[in-house]
Amino acid sequence: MRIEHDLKSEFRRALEDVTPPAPWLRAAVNKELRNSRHRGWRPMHVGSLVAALLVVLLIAAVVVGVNAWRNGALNPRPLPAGEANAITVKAYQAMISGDDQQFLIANNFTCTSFDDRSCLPNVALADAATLKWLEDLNRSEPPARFVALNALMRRHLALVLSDDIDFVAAFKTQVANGKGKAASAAIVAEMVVLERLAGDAGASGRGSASAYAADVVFQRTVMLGCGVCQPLVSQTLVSCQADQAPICIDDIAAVRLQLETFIEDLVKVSAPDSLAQKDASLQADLVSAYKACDAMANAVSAGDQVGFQTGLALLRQELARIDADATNIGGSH
Amino acid sequence: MVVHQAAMTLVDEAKGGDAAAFEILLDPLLEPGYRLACGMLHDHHAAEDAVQEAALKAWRKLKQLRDGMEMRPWFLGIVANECRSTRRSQWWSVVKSVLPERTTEESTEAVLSGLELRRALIAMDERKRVVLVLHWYLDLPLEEIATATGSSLHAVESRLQRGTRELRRRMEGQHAYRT
Repeated sequence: MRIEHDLKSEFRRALEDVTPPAPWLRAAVNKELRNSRHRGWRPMHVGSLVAALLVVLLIAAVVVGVNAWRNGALNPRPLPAGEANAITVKAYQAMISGDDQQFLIANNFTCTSFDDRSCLPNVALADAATLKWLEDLNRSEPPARFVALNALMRRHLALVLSDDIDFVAAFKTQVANGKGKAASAAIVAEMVVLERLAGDAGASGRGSASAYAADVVFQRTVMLGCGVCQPLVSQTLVSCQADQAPICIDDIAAVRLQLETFIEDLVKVSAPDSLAQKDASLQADLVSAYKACDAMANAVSAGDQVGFQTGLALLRQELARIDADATNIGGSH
Repeated sequence: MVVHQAAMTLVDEAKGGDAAAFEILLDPLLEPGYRLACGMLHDHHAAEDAVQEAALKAWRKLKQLRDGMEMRPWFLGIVANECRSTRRSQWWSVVKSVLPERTTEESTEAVLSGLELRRALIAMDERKRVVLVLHWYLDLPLEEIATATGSSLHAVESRLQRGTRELRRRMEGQHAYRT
């Protein structure tokens, strides 16, 4: 019985943290109902509903038939290229833009210190906005051009969620301990990245085959030629023993940044239909390389040398694939 | 009994097209509908939209409310369906106003457990989630949950039991992570 009571109060607390009262809802609903009645909506019998539906369908069929006959539309005509995906891309952009705005609004607060508990409800709201963004991504299939960007956003949102826990936990000790400060700085850094990724999604446009191919070749050159990335990108032996760990982490971060830039560029100037398949393969390899970086970073943090070397081998394998994908795209245009 | 009969008379009147009767019937259901939608969607703007849309649908489909059937589970069922289609369509993700300011002081543990519960709940299957929200948050009897979800009482009991276990497991998993 005690457990039952606990869960009820936990639900109430958890959901009411992020659920403001809505005293205006009754007036809004009643207004909407009155408007609908002015438009002629009334409770309908199931029978009359079916009859009405049949009439509507009949009228629609007649109108379509007459139009089709008049316009010669009975001979099928293909839709212009790219038009079929336009709505999906727009819907995805609208979703990301909305989630990003809500995320920014929710995160627009400052906690003066870790003993300022009045700040905690704001953290709860910010966390809910992050969770909602991630949930939207989890429940939607991104259009082809956003697949890799989608994976990046999911990763950064997951990092914010994990930092939120550390940030809130720091209030327990009521002192600005290292973990809490680090979490706070990490959240701010992730916000900057997420803002940029959301901007990329919003600004995405379809490029011509030559513009897209030129962009891919350029990004490939920058990535493989990146000076600070060379220890990991070139086939040299790399050790990440304890004293070398911070350097390794920096090297991994440098490669990760190059991969992110490459992925973002593919969204800004997205592939035309003729290169969609090659673009999908390139995006998949970029994401795999990115995941290899994460695996390496986790291994370094855990002092796992074998895990690091496995991740490094995978990264180099994926980089070779990216190189081949880019050459293939560049060679076709 | 008198109250029940009065409600039934109102239902008849509303079915006959009496808008005022429908508003009286709907009024006490808006708050639980909103809470259900918030529990399902974790977004109060989307929750308000879902309740408004559900109210319109309830008015249009009122004739489908069978004689003797309680209005509350019927309306909450429409809200739950509206939440499902809202989640599917993903069109609602547009900011309409700023978030409310919260100044209440809360304990760190309460905030942490709130974060954990919301994350655990949002990761769950929608059919289990709706039963958990209706039971643990709205305190609805199992019979009404069965009506609202269009399931048998047995199915609701089993979903509630399995869902609660899963919720606890997910919350404990996150708790272990942070300690």
